[in-house]
Amino acid sequence: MHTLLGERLPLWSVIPFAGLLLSIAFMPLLLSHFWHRHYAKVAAAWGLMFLVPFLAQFRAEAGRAILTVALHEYLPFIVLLWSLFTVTGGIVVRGTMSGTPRSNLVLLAVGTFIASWIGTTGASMLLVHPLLRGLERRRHRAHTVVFFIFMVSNMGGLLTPLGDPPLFLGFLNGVPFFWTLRLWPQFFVLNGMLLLLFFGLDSRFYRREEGARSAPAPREPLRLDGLVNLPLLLGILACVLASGSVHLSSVHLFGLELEAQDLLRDAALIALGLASLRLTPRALRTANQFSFGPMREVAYLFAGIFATMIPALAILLAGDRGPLAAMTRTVDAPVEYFWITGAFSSILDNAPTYLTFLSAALGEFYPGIEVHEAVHHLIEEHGQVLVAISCGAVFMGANTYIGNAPNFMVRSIAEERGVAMPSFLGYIFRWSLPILVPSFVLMTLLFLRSP
Amino acid sequence: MDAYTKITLEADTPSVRGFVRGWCTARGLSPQEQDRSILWPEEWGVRVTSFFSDIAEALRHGDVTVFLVASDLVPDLLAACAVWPESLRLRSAHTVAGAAFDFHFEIYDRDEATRVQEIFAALPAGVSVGANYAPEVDSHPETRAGMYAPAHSYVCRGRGKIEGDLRGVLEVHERCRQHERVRIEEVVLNLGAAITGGP
Repeated sequence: MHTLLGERLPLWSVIPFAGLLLSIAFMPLLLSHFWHRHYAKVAAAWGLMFLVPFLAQFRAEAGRAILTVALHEYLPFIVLLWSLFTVTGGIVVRGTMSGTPRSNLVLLAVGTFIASWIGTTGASMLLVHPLLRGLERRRHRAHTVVFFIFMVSNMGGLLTPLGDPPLFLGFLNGVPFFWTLRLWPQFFVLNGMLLLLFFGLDSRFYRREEGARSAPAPREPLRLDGLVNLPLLLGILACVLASGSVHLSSVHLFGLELEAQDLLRDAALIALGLASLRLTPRALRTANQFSFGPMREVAYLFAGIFATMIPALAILLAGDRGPLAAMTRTVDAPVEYFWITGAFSSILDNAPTYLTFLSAALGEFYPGIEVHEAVHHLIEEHGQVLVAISCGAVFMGANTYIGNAPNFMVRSIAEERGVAMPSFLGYIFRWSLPILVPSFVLMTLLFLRSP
Repeated sequence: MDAYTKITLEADTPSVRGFVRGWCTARGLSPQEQDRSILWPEEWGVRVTSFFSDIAEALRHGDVTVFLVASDLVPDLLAACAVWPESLRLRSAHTVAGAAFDFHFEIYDRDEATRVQEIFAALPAGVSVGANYAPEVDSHPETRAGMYAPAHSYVCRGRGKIEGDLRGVLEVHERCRQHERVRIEEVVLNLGAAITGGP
């Protein structure tokens, strides 16, 4: 169905998709108050700009396409993010860290690892407050928060579909749950390098601060509150894992065929999130400054993204037969996929970017083949392409504040704690360009060179 | 109020620092008195050269060291330097009539904003903040930092200029430096009359 649509949809039908992604990228910077009050309307406007003519022109076929995206991708996506956000939001890390280079290194390393299992957003929200408490007596703090954004909010999410939204979208489209675990060499090399670099830099700042640091506050031992949420987190992992391993019967709903294990998974995730809300004392959520505001943002914006993405993905999946044939022919080597996915992920949200380039790859190599089957063939015959797209989307979301959802949130929280975070351009030119881009070049040379 | 003199010697900085430290110790000045009487510009964020003088220095051969000395010590210090004219040649000496620096801040925490505003509300004697300093507060309690909408529920912004007596200006400069979100420019000196007394 998608490829039929992809052959018949005009190229200009992707304008709302591009418009929405650019709005998400730049309106918060240029019109922050307007965007904060009206982002949902902006997303709805772009969505309707595509959906109304789409339904008018293609009628039942369009309705089916919209329902497919809504039930197969949007709802599972939102349910997973909501359940992870709700459950991790009920866990509080109390106590004070010393703020020394060693304790900061440990926190970054732990955060980077757990990001793959509880999501980059969850790991960021869990650890940013203890990080900032530990930094209170430090003079130089911004660099630690920058590396936190690099690693905990972005690169740590590489190893499982729970780690970063793009990888979960890949899972929903047929990438096996454990496939991303084979990216452990890339994970350890890149994050290992960054940890070493951070430790050297932080140690240098720490020595320079000798004599200028305020007296250490009385140390409170570290502890976790809200432990009831830990088994709920394991439950989330188990549900997602099971839905990829177990195959039950199909269910017909609104004319669509849905897999029973997927419906059960989503129902279980909702139940786990509700259990967390019921069992976690309100005081813990207050301590985490928890609110559903960020989830509302994700829900509204991604409703618009998934709607406007329909033509882009359909056209790309059509490969040679669609209006973007030239693009699908131009990009074919893994190294090209890595850098082009990464470049777009740097300034546009990395989840739709991942799907866009996955679809481009599927359209190039397997036009007209059903998506899950095509993904299976891609993994078997052009696995490096999927490696490149996954790494590009996850890693390069760290290149700017707008590359991935937690980046801005971590920056805002740090600013409210008095940290002088770099400006948008300062982050790029003083931090991500000199540190990350050479790292990515090294990753290309180590893992993505053509044989 | 303490009066200071800006002294420029044609000598490398480590040698000048060592000489001045030794001279002060020989005069019986305690470390605290030395810290108060001798100010090194790089430690206090004071700009003592301009872009063009930096270019001129880069083209000239030899080192130059600039520092600030409590004015009551200047005649004796210059006399001591004159004993070694080849090693500690006096280029210039000027009284410091005053100092100033520009600042601006954007703070997202109410308590920190209060602490910062208190700096400018309780200035030392002889120091003032420019008439255009008027902090603005933007408060939206319903706004929370989001993932795609990075707004703050509270923002306090201000900018201005601090000027006056050098010692007082440096004290305010240092207090501002304790707050990362207060951006401060270098302290600029307002020089008075030239002093002669070199070799």
